[in-house]
Amino acid sequence: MSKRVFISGYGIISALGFDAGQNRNALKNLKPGIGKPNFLKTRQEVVVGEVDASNEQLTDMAALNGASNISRTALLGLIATKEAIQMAGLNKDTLIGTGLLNGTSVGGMDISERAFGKVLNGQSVDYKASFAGHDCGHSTQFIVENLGVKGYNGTISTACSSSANTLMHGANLIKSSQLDCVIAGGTDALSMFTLNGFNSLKILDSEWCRPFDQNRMGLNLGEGAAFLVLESEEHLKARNGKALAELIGYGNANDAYHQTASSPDGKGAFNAIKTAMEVAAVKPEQISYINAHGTGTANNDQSESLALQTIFGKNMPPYSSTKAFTGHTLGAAGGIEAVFSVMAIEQQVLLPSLNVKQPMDIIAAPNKEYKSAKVETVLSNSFGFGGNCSSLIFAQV
Amino acid sequence: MRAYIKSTSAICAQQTFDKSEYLAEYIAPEGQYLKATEPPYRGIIDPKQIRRMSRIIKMSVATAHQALAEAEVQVPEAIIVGTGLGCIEDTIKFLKDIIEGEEGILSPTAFIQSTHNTIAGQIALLLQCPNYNFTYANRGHSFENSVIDARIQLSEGKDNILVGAAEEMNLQAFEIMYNMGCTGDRNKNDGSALGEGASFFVLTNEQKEGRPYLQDISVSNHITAEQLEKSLNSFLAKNKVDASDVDLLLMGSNEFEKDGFYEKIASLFADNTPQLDFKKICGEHFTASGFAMHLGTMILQDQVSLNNSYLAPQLKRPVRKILIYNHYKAMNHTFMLLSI
Amino acid sequence: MENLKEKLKVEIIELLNLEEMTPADIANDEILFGEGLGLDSIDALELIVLLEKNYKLKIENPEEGKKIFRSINTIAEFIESKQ
Repeated sequence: MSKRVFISGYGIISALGFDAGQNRNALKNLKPGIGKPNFLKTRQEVVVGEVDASNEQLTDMAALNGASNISRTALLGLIATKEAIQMAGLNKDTLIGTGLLNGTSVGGMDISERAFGKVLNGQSVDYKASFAGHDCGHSTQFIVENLGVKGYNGTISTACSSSANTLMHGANLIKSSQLDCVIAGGTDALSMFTLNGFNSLKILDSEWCRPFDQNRMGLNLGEGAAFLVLESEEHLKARNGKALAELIGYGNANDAYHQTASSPDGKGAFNAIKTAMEVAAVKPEQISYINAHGTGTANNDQSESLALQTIFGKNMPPYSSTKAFTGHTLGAAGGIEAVFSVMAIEQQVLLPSLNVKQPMDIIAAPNKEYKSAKVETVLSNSFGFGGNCSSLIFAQV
Repeated sequence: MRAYIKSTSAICAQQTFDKSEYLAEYIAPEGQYLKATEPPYRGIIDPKQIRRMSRIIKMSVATAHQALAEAEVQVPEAIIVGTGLGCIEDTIKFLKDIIEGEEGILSPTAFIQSTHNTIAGQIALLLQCPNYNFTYANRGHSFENSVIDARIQLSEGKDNILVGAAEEMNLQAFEIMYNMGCTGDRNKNDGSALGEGASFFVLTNEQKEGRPYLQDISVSNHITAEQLEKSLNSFLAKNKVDASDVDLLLMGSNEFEKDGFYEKIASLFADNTPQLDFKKICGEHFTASGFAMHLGTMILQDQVSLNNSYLAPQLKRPVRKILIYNHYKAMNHTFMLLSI
Repeated sequence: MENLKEKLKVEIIELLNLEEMTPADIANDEILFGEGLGLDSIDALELIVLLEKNYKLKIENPEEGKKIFRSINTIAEFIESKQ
């Protein structure tokens, strides 16, 4: 499997903005998207990384005239995939043979959780309209139908590493010659379900999250979607497309330690990074920048730091967590951070961490500025519940 | 690319887990959906570990355990699970707690267990398996996504891959799906009743005399009956198989959805080609095709023991090639070719 | 105090679904986590919920919970000290 996998376009929507330009500007201006929720209805006193648009506004943005009852997850996914297709310049004919891989953790929960409340209270509901979009696969089907993508499609649900895994699987489908072009990424909307879930685990920071700070108190949840267009070299050449970066390495490993927590020594994270570096055939000193998983929980940042220390030792490359900007977007996080990694390569910059007052004592402080640097190779980490650890490596072309 | 099937194990509405009683007696369904016939889990799963497991996890862990034991594999090189709805029981439980308690104090266990990849994660945890661990949740192609990935992993040189399909149903989920129009007459077992269960496999590159293999798999979405015919013809041609080579059709047909697709496929084979409607055994669900692959494997692997099965009269021996055709709501279509 | 301890045992067995156990199987000074009864961090979160729901006692920091949840004795002492 020696085929190369190029990235020819991407689309992103998050608390930082509705498209790639807005997201990049927010990173550049150190402006996080974390605040009180305006659209998510909850009794919890929290700050979140919410996409700044109502469902109606998102429906308009996705050019779906007057459609209703569509999950935010599906809407965000459609908006991001449309941008990715436009940036890559894929035309209608190309889309027929293009595949789509979507990563999501809760699918259409934002709609079904409200309807389920009505069911419990004995109110009448339109069952089909309320629950047909509940399962994870629905958002994928909704996106491919609206885009006219006719090739193979798949949905991965491995919690917080879901969309990193779609990129890995997309690369595998291209390398094994099953597809020439695949749109891969993920989408997840905020929901009462996940918010209360993370709250019950007592890992939410009620203030802005502080990844890699000694006094970090937990994560902020976020929502969004990001998709990247992956193409084989032949396909890209044949249609005169332009490569923005290359996906050169990927690895998935299981921590096999605990259902939700990471092992204290970061065994799974270490294995995922190591595998990705082997696939990419790069040495630790060749990594220019790391977009860490860095959720801001005591457990993740400890475990990830130790894994990074084991791999990089004294030559720790600059690293940061962009989750202080976007919040933890769960199933979409791997896709969003893959887009940020490609942006870092395109712009030749290091992306910043936020809110770090006192760095952790077990690892060098994260990068805190949006600053120019030679960025040839970027490592992006995504770790999830169930011990699911994934790492991706992107390179300049 | 052939994926050899070292072993398989399943739990479904009928007796399939205890292989000495494999489909021996037809179990008449009770209740509104085809509830799985579960084995006693004591002796299979450590009581300390079982205490937090919902049924979908117990069914998956037990069948994964049996498949691994039969294959004499301790730690698989990849674990890949397909589930359409995932851990719906814990999802509903946690959601109910949130709504009834008005977002008050919540016990976290149901939330932890509600995640789709809890199944593959729990298996990895129990086996202390640090390897590749994926979960697909793609409606009627959740299991198909998993098998296609498993074939890629095999082609990359990984061996002994644990692949599974899992789904659970409960009364509340059933009521919702019933009201959505997902199921036909509750009282007729015509293949349209909702079902549940788990089917697991150990796949290998290693060829062995008498070992069944998945010769090929093909998926498509939203196609017409005419396109389906073309798609079958090219699938068979690609595998150098003639319609007359197929000894058995395993079909997802049911009386509720008379949509022309199953009829179309049946019409392309000689009238005397035996056909089994596998959903009469496992019920309709997102990963019913996983059970079809299990049943097909059992028929190929163990033709003799199936003599005791109530299915025996419907089988013509020997069976060397099985074509599985299933579709989910006319959206997700699947062909699988099993051979020995 | 002894009544409270018995009550706690029954509640814990039910809450954590410790099948095959009876209150008599848990000694008052038995270590609940790790090597003793074998409870883990998810159980710790469940115990926090138990204290909050049944005893109206809040534990904000899971670290604090570690000391309180050492054994049935320590939990009972904590509850008594707050009432």
